[in-house]
Amino acid sequence: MEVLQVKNIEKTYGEKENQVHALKGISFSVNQGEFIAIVGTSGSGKSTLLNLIGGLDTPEKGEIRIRKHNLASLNRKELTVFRRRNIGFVFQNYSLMPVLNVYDNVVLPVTFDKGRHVDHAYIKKILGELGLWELRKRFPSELSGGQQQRAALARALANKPALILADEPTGNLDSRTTVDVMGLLKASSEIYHQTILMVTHNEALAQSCDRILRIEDGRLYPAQNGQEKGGDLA
Amino acid sequence: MTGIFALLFAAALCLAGYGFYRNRKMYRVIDRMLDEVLDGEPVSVSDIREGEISALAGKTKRIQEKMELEIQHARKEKEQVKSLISNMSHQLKTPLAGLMMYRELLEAPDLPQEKRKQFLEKMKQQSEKLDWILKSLFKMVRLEQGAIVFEPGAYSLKETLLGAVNTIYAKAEKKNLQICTEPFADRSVLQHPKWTGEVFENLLENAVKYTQPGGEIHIRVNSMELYTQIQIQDTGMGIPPQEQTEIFKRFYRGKAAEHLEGSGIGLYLSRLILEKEKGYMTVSSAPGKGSTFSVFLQNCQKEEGKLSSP
Repeated sequence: MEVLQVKNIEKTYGEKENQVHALKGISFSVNQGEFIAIVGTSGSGKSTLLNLIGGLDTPEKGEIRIRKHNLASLNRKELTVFRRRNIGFVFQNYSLMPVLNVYDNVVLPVTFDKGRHVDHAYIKKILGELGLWELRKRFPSELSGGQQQRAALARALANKPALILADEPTGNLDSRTTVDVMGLLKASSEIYHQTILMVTHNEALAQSCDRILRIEDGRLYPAQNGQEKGGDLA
Repeated sequence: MTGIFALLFAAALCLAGYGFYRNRKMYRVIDRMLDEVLDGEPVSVSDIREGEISALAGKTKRIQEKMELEIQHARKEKEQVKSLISNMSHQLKTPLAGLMMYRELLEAPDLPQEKRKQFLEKMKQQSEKLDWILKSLFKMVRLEQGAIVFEPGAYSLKETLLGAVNTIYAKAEKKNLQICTEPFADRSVLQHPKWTGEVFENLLENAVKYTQPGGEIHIRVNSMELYTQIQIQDTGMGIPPQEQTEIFKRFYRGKAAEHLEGSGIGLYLSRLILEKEKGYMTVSSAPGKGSTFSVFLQNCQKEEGKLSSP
């Protein structure tokens, strides 16, 4: 079942001579439950693509459909609600609320829909698995970069979203924690059939995903899992 | 005084009435939603509006999708089991037929000692093959069910690799194949030697099986930041691109390999084992030119400095 369809999208920043084509004619579709890595050099358009899929930005051309909803056809309010219920974000810069402690940050997306009725056991479980349960009363400013990153990940998982968009979710973690985070993402996607799109610089990490999307200069170079890497080294 | 009371009473009554009405309405909407789920129809309530009903609709749709996916999954698995049974009976038939034939031959009273020995040797080979197939099947099922639990630890890569090469060496020799291992500094990786050995044996066995006599098998070790890559490259028949993701699936047999013996278990089993060791495997190949299988195992940070420096 296809959860995400991206058709021929184009995105340009700036005007006239300063124009930058961030993305050009990108099309692909993603099945439910797939774990996809998006790789490419910095400035190749990876983050732009993630922002467009998350409805944070709109493409000039093309269409993005998530769970049969065309993002362009939704109004602002619908888009907000849709995003909240269906998409979990893990941003590069964490974007945690500085005035809320870890626990409140994580349950924030849930409280929008359900008020105070939060599935406490589930939150405790993901915080525990991410090694944050003891730190739940701390504020983001009292955490290390890696801890903040994990808090951001816990927040993305809290709502059990259908689609998780992660921009370098393991960028600031040491390799042991990286493996744990990847394990958590994979386990969660398996239980709830979540689809994950992960931007990463780490080739080895990308190789462990179901599929790799390679972006260079705003264009897509489709590469099946494994073929390219092995070919380079052989 | 009574007037105020009457007013308050009326207000309370109105509120209760409204509450009751709202409750009924909510119930009706949810009931309809559940009916749609039961009938297998798409949920008609919008899931992108504010409010409780819409939030419930969103969740209901998710449940529907999950059910559908799981049904699909179960169906696929059922098909696989069916093909497993036909595949297995096919796989078991050949060695079994061989066994029966040799047994019949051995029954002849005036068989020379020389022949008798030869037939017994053949019977041994066939029964070993039967044993291998059945063992692999058991391993696969138990690994899938999580019945086999093994904790990977830091072990020498060289020893594991050497063990695997040793078991396969005679077979390669017999087929006039050369196994070249490029020298590398030993390092400890996250693994379970017995199981990782099995992975290497499977890959080497494939390399031997699918390479014509006179060919070469190269083994290379590259260390990367997080993982150590072990490449096993052959000069065999190769795998067409469209089959390269398929070969790791259970019981899949390549089109070109259909007439060769094999069970479609080896690579799947290897991938299962590597998953348990938090490693993975990739392939690159071109038909006619050979295949390169790469196994990635996690580096062990503590010993890394000690062992990796030559």
